[in-house]
Amino acid sequence: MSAERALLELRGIELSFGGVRALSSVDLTVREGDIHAIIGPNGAGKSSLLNVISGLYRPLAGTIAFAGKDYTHVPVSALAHLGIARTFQNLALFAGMSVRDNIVMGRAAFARSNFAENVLGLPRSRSDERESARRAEEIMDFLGLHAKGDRKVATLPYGLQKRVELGRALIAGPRLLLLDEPMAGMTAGEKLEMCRFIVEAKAEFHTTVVLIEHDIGVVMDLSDRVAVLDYGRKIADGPPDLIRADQKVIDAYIGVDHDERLVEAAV
Amino acid sequence: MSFFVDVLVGGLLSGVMYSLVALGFVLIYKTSGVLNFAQGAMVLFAALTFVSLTEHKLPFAVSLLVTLAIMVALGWLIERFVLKPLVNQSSITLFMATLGLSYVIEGAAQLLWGTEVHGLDLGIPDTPMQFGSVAISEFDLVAALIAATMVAALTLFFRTTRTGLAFRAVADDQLAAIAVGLRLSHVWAIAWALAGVVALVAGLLWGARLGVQFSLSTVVLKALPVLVLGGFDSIAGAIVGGLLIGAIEKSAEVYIGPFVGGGTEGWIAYVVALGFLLVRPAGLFGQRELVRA
Amino acid sequence: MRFWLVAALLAVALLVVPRVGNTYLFDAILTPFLALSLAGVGLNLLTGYAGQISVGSAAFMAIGAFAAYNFNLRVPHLPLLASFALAGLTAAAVGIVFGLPSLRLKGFYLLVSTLAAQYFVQWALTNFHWFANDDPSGVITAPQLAVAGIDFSSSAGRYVLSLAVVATLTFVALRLVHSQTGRNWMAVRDKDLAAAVIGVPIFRSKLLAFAISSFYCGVAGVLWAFAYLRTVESDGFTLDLSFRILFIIIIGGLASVRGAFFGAAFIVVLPLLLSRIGASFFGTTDSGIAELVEMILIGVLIIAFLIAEPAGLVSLWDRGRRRLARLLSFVPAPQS
Repeated sequence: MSAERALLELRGIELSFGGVRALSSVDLTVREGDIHAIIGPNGAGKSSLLNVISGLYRPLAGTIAFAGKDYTHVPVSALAHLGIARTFQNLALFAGMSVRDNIVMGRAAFARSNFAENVLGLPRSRSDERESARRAEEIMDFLGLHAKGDRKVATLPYGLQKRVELGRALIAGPRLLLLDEPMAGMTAGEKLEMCRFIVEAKAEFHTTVVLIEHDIGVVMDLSDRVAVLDYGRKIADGPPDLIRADQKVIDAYIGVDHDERLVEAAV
Repeated sequence: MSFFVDVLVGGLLSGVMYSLVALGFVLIYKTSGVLNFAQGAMVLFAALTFVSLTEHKLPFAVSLLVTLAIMVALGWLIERFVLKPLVNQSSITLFMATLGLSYVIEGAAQLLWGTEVHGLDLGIPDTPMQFGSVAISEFDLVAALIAATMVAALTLFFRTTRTGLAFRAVADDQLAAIAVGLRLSHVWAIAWALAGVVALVAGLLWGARLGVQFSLSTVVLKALPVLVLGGFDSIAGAIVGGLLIGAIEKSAEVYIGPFVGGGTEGWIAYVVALGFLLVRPAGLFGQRELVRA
Repeated sequence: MRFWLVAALLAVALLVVPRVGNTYLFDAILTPFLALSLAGVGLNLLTGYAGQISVGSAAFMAIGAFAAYNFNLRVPHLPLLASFALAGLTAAAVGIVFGLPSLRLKGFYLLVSTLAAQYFVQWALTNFHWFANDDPSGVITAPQLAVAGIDFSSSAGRYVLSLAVVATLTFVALRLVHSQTGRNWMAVRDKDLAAAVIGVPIFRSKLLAFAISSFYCGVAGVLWAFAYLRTVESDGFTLDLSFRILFIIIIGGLASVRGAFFGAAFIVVLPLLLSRIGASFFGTTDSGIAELVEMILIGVLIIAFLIAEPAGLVSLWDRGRRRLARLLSFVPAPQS
């Protein structure tokens, strides 16, 4: 791997909750333009890692380099401006708002007008609104949500809500997109669609993707690289073919026996 | 110095009353996470019912039993018809529902029993007893004793009985409690019934002190700062918080009041609670971690 | 189409009603309705849209009323509407102070802050006589209501003045909630963690909601005191009034600007209706009993709405209209 193309680089990340180790000296390098999956049994620390990258957790030790800058703790309030967007494992949509407004909210950090300009409808506010509306239409076209724009997001089926959340992340045009189990709880058909959206998003918006996923078959097809966590440590990292054959990975999964599908896929 | 002790003791004793009201809150909050704004209305309802029954020449014990039965029934009705349909709603929605409930109970209590002030004599003399240099009313002492007994009884209940253990299980983890087969609605109904009993005791003591009247229901508002200090889910906290608020109010009125024209009792508790919340959101004894924004 | 409907409604309210209405209609119904609607709109911005509960609306109304009175009294040649605006700004400033705890407190813990506001403000206004210009009774008469040389002191005049102020501020509120500001509020309300991650300035949004909401309540307080009660006294702004404003938005519809008007209409008309019913059906004029029945009814309705129709009267109304539209199929269906 060529280090100069690294967009995100974690070094020696340590994290614990009330004395319980969640992550132990985790290193991770994500190359620009890759889809990099993080897999591992339940409780392996996958979501914790994503929360460290997005600044929701403050690591005990270690550094996070993003786009050439070093952080010990990524500031949440600056996340959008850094070019990092994310989705959540259990949907975190704005339930009382429409699909369109949820997606528009993804650009909240880039609104330049203040409330007085908004009330008076001054040029800056109007251009903000126009720009947001235009991009929201694009995103809704892209995700096939067009007919649903005015629906209250809470009234949509689960699979579509997951898509809206992806749209809210994409509208910011992030350099790095963090997806926490984007396909959890979906039917096989919905998963396939979501995969297509992720691949197309990468191509169309030049987004680097880090994703957590349980369905190992999906991960192997979708990802450029796969990192495997077990008990808070990274035990493997590389192209899908190598991971599939990695004895440590197979042992970890068979030993823990958490994910039957992985066992089937790996054997 | 002895003047200060007098003020402090006076404050602590009125704090006992606050503790009693706060106790009812804690019972509900611990089990169902609801801030029951109607607790004050229940205090009023209990006191008004009891005093009206005695005024209709019912013997003390019979009145007490009838009121007790009514309060238990009221608690059960509330759980069944207000809280159950609102299960899984946000804490703000639940609070607003109990606010509506307080209007219903206050209105009904006065519609049933009238709006005039009733005197209530529990047969406990309100004569001062001398302890060294400090004089304490016998009534206040008995009230404190009753409060202490109730806390001890509730603590025993939580520690030893099956139902009490179920309470604690539900308070710790609702999902786990359901998983092991506890019926949440039963636990909640019992909690509400118990809160009704606590309201009766508080109503009788408060009523004997201040007269049974509408303003009784406003003691609910004093319970809020008490809970903030003590922690919304701690029985011990309700007691300590109540005593603290009582003492702070009295001392503030004596030592700060003269400089600002008096009347500090109306707000000092809230301002103290507010300051406290900003420093220690979980309260002195609270367990539940407050989520930060 | 919707625009023309509202415009027509406003035109009737502004041009026709003042000519045909009587004093009772203005003084007992329309003027208090308008003042309460404005307070409801203000509280709805804070509670309905931004999700921050408050039981201190009446305190901010009191601040508005006393501020307008004092600005009028102490600043010579200050135009009336300027004193209204300054009153709103004063309330907004105090609102920010009592909103500061929202940085750390959520849900009903915020009750403590707004209750502190309610009690402290009422106490301060009563206790420090300067606010009431050292009037021994503490009850002061509202000043002459004149804008640009036109006197608005008559019943109809006070109604028209209130209507103009309320209509303007309602228009502003509608713009706000449909802008990025309003969306930020709702995002904070619905999922603050997600809002933070996408870059919504959480604390600033909350404080802005407190400030703007208090501004609205402040101006509503001026109308309540100057146009409706004609007196300024701190006893008029009790916790009970704060609760009633909360009820207005629950019954009318949370997170709906229109809802505040529905709720206010209900709260104003209900007691009048009850005393009429009491008089004609039971021959009783006991206002005490009517009041108790009103309490019970309001309480029952609050619970019923929270359980069965959390979106309030406004949602019932819209559904009714849609059903009617389907029946007649030429009335346009309302947008949400």
